[in-house]
Amino acid sequence: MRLHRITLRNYRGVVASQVLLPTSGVVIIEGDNEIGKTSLAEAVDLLLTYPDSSSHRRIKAIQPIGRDEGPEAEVELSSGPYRFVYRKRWCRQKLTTLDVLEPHRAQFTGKEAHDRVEAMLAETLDKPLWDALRLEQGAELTQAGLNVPSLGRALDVAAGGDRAGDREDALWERICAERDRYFTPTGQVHRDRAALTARVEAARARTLEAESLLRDLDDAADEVARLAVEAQALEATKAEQERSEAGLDAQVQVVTRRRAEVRQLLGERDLAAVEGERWLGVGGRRNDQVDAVERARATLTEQLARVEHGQPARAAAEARRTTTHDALKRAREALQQAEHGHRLALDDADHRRRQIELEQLTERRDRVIEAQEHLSTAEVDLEQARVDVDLVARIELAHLELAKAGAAAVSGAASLTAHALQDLVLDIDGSPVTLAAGAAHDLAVPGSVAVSVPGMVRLEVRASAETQVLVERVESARQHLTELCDDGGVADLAGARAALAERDRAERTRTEALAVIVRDLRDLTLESLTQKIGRLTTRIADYAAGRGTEPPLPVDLDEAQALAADTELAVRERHADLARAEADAEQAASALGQAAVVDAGLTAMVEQSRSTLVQAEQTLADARAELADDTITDGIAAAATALATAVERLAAAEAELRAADPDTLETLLQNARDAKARCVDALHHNRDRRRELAVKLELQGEQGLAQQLDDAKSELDQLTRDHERLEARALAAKLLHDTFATRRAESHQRYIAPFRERIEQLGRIVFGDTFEVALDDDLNIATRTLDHKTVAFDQLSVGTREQLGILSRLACASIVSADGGAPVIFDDALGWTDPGRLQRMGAAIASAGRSCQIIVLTCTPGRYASVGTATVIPLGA
Amino acid sequence: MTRHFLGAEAQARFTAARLEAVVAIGALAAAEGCGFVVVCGDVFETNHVERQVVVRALEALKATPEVTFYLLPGNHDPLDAASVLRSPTFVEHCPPNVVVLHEAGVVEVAPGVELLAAPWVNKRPLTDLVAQARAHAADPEPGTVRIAVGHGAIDSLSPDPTNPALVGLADLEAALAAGQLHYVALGDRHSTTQVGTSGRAWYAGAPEATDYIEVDPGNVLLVDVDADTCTVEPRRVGRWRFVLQRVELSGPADIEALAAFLEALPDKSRTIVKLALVGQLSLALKDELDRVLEHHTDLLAALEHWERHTDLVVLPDEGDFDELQLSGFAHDALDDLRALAPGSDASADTARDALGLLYRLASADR
Repeated sequence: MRLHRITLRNYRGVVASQVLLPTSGVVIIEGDNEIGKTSLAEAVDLLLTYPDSSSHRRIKAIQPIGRDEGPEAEVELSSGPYRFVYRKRWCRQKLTTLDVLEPHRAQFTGKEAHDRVEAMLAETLDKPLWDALRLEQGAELTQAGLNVPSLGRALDVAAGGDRAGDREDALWERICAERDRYFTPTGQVHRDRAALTARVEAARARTLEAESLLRDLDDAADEVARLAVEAQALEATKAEQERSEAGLDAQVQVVTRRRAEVRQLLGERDLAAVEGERWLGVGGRRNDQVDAVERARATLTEQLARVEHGQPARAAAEARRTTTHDALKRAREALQQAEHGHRLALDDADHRRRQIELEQLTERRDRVIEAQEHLSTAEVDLEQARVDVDLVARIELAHLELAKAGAAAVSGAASLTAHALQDLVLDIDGSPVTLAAGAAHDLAVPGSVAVSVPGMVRLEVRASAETQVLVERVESARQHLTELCDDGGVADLAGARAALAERDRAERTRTEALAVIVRDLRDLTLESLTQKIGRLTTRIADYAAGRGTEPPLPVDLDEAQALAADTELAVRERHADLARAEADAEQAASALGQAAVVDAGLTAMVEQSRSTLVQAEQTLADARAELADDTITDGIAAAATALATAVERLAAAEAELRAADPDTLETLLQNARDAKARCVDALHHNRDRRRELAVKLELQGEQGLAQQLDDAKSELDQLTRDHERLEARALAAKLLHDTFATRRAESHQRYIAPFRERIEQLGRIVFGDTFEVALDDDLNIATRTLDHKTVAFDQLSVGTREQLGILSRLACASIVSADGGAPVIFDDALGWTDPGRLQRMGAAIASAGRSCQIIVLTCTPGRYASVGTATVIPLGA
Repeated sequence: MTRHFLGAEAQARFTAARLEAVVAIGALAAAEGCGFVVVCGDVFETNHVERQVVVRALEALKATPEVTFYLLPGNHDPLDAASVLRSPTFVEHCPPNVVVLHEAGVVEVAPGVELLAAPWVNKRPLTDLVAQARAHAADPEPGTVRIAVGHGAIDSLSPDPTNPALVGLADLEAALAAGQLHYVALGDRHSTTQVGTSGRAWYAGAPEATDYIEVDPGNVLLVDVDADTCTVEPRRVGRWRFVLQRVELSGPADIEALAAFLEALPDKSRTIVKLALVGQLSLALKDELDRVLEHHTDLLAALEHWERHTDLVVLPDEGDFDELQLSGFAHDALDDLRALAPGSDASADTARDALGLLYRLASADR
């Protein structure tokens, strides 16, 4: 279809508007908002859709506001072989006119016109395509839904023509439905198949269980039969064992009697042996007695000989003992003497030491006493001393001040010089001064002075006022000096210095005295020191009084110490001598002791032997009196004979007993009893088990287990076959589906290839040469790939989606245009497109416009300036 | 007696037929004036039947109280500890006209008539029980008719000569010839069978068919015997049939022939058919075959397929899909499946099934 002309009258806000359109290429209709651009496209749609009698809200919406006029639209279009002018007015003075221009002129009105147009368009226009290629203003940016018949036919032709049709599509749906009976959408086993598999397994389990129960019953029956046979065997065995036990028991009885016989013979033998032992014992004792006499006699003889033999050795040991004892005594005496001498030497040394100590202590005491006196004196002096360094310094300063004042007074004072013309005596203020003739005496007159020559003259000299002041200063200084001296108890500075020197001396004296006291007293007091001196003195005196004169006391300590050393050496030597003498004496005493012991032992032994001999002879005599030797000999012989007989009888009985093998018999008998007991137990167990099985068979035998097994097997068999058939059907459905899916996909790809390629061709103009798209079954763009990155359509930006939507419409229109197709109309589109892409979109639109009619409505002049070959129609106000 | 290939309805009738056979036997015996009936073993399919089976069987036996039934324990119902013939239920409800031959030896059933019983007392006897029973029994008195009642395989017909429990035919025939026995009634085989040449030793067979391999089941033997004569007359009491049929299928005619064969079967509701189908069919013919079989499945008691001997290949031919006029990817997919279809492996089977499915789905909109 192509639009040639659109005319509007009283259409919304449009009073009258007409647009002539080129039938191919791009036409851009520009105009302000509300100028009627959108109404142009809308009017065509309403014209072709609604009869003039329609009161649809879309028709009502186009009524002009404020004017009682019916909205009117007229379009001249061509579709297929037809070209006609179609006009309608709605609402007021409704009309419909159709003027068919081609192929044959004809005019229609009213419903007939409407029907005629519908017929022509049904014949020539793909309505879905017409709807899909219009992108209305404000429409939702969904994809065009271009899976329309005309595009399909065009793609069919492009794909070669042998494309499956609706029948194949319907078959495909049935195949998918068949597959879905056996598989989930993800390819897993459908729950019905899984359920059947589970039922098969359950039936198998029930079959196995029934078989097991039945087998159990059969086994129980077999076991009962076996137990019955076993019971018979056990009964027979038990009887046999009882017979065997009885036989063995009889044999054991015989053996028991034989054992008793053997025991008795054993006793007899033992008695005979005991009797024999007894006689032998008697004989032995007799012999012992005789031997004892002989031994005693021999022993006595020997011991007497030994005694005689030992006498000389004893005497020698005694002599040696005496000698060593004397030597020992002498050694002890010498040692004692040496020790005495050594003690005396030590005492003498101590005495001399004490004397020296006494001197030292006395000297110390004296020093201490003296030091105490000095200390006392010094402390008194210090106590009395009123002058210290500070006072002396003040006195010195006062003295200096006095001197200064005096000097000042003298220098300021009048002076008087008295020259003696002869020897005379001057009285200066009552103080005589003797002058020799020619001597002079200077005299300062600070205040006034009376100088007289007795008996001759008296002069009173007075100083001036200034001099008085100076004199007063001097006086003041003198008074201050005097006060200080008084404080110190001295007359003057010299006295103060002397007093200070005294003080210092007293200080030194005290310090020295204290040092002496500390040094000489140490940790003692004077009293204790004195006591110590006293004790030493007493001790010295006592020692001197008690010592005696011999040997003489050493002269001094050195001599006493030397003597002590000598005596100590002598003592050590005497100790050594003593040790040797003691060893000798001990040895001699030991030897003598041993000899005495031996001698005493021998004597005792002789006595004992003699006693033993006497006793043994007596014992023998007594024993013989009681029992003669001959009697014993006879008794021994008789006992031996009796024993031999008993032994012989016992041996025979034991041989018989051994031959009977009693242990084996007893073992056999016990074993027979045990075996019988075990057999009895087995019989009981057998009986109990048979009873148990009989109960089981009785209870379960009538439960119809065989029927249950048959039923289970039948069910299993049936389910197994059903399962096998179901699985076979599932595999067949899957193979069919997969085979169809593969071929269908291939076909689809071949089918959509031209459309996809056309979109990519236009898209490369806009997005670049890496642009690719993938289409779904409805020919919508599923994904866009750019720079090898694939993004789903829904994930793209609003602008990109709008651009792709336009490109797919342009691609579709260009493909179907050869077969007529429909114009592409988009109204105020690409509002979200940036200027760069807008420019490329313009190129793409121009490219598509070479093969179809594209009508672009825009309120933005210049938006489509990049559409190179476009016809621009401005709509004025 | 459960058969897995029977549906619930058919199974119920099959089970009921067993008891009906017992009643029929009793009625026949009464009608013919028989002194007694001997059942030579396997009275019950197993010792572990449910109580209902026991009491119903006894009830059926009780239907003709004038006829005494002598029941011999066989290998399926031996007289062991689990024996149904000694169960409390059996003992309690056993009617007076039912006697269990529970001991080997001679039983006088009527003046001058003895039964030499050789019951199975366990599942695995180690000797010829009939010969053993004969060895322990004195010869019959002159004028006494002695009938041996035994169970098991006869050595002349057994494929396993090492079986120690085989019944020795030579011994029996010698005994028959010597007049120590006058008739030998055997059980175990389900087909009515004469053994030996004396004419006096027979397997009566099962009164109702139980399997496909049975040659002549469903009979009882009406025996008239004395020292000099013996007449044996098989009488049919069974009503069920097992039919085993191998069918070659290569074209429509074969299918028609099969349909005719099935159609001709009498008493279809008591007939069980097992088919071994061999050959090759197109999808369309397979479809036709399926319709025929489906129809007769509803008529017959059961229609089985003998899987082990069935070798029917379904291969689509050109005509199968031409009329469907598939195009585009569907036609390509069809070619792919047809390329996989030839062959005998599992994948080829799946491809053929897929073609069959495609045929069905594609035909749905015609």
